[in-house]
Amino acid sequence: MTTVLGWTAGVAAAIGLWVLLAYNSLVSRRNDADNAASGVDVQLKKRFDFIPNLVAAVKGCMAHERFLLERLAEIRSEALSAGAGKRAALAEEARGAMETVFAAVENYPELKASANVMHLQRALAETEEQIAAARRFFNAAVTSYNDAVQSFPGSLVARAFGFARRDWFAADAEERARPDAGFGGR
Amino acid sequence: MRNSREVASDPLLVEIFGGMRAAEAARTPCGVRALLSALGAAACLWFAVSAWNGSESLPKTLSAAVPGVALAVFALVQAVRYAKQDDLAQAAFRRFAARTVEAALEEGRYEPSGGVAEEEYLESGLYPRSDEYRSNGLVCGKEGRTAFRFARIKAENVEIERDAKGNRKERRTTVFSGVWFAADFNKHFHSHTRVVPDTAERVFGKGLGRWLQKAGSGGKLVETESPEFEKMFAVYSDSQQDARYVLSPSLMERLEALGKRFRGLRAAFFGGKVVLALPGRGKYLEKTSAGSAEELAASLLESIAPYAGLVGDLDLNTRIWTKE
Repeated sequence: MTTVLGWTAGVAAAIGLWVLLAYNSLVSRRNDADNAASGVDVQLKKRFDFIPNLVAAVKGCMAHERFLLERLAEIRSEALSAGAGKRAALAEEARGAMETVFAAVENYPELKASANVMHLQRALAETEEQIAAARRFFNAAVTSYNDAVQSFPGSLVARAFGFARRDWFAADAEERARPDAGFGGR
Repeated sequence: MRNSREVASDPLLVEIFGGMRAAEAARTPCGVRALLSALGAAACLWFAVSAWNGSESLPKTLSAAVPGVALAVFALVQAVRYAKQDDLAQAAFRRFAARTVEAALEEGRYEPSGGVAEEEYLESGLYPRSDEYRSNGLVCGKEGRTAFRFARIKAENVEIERDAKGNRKERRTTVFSGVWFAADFNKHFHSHTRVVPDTAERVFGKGLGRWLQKAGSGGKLVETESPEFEKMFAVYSDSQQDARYVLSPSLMERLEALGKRFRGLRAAFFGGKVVLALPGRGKYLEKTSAGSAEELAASLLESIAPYAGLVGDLDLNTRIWTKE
């Protein structure tokens, strides 16, 4: 009787230890994914921070793109008060608008030769590369987390404690077709 | 890098080549050297035997030993002369190699006795500290906006063993032997990232291999999204995001291609630069019996071309970011 009780207690302790380790591993991976998501958000904010400088640098010359520049300023204001999901969508819109502005710079020789505009273009290329890196880290962290959530027997612990599968960042079709991100990212 | 024909059009290089060949021609032929060395040895023997036999009378001993002493002194003087001749020929070759590098590379410089500081070697984290560290043959240059340098390194561990009779035996294990390349990296970054051959995953497979890699020390394992790159390398960094910023998909492809050319390639990104450890024992700025300045320059440039071309191979000259 004592032996049976001893074995039962031993097995229960082993299962308890395994649940503890599996739970801690899931928490650690979820934190990594959250950390990576906040990294993406920080980089996206950097993209918004370029807008005032870009508008100030080009608005004196760009008469035909006035509407576009006004929209860029609006996007930034909206992004400041938006939630993470809306901010990500606005960031993509800002990116498209900024690409259009830099493409239009080609039509203005004084802007094309401006050291300020050139510096902005380089700094934005750097930020775009940082955003891409942050997203790659996010996807790696989410893959690791999802593997842990969905693999058996860890999935039992995940289900019991409410760890749900997360979505990756997916580049949209237009972005995939343009691997250099329009700003020359390598 | 300029080609050997352009380099050999430099009149100074042709002049140095002439001087080098003259210095070589002035060297005493090997046969004569061997004969004189044998004579010197015989003279020493004669002196020793004479001194031994004539021990009963000092004047007799000295008179018998005089020819031996004279020959021994003559042999010594000759040996010093040969060493000077060799030094002159070697110095002329070093001048030729230095001028070739200067003419071939932008801001080119060759320092035969210069090398990579051991601090940089250790700071890279690519190899552990070794008992002996030697570095020489430093070449510096610039391609476009990217300054680079490379040199040979030999790092060894030395174990001293004693057999049953107490005889000392030295066992040397090579830690790294090859060329070390360092260049200014084209992006600003603040992390320390290492790219090393993926032996664990190759030997134990993906599951156990990755588990072993994660258990290893020296930064967190960075899992990249390229299966080909993952098969070849393991990446460790103190910043997951920065590592991915440095290792863009295009740079990973370039490192893969380099890894196929240089077996055992390792790379580290730290302090604003990239360093590559390229194992190998190939020719490196060595003298040949080339008949003309152009031929010799061609053979020297051929030996450093794989390293001087690394800036282009890694596309380090693309400066579209804020680091100019």
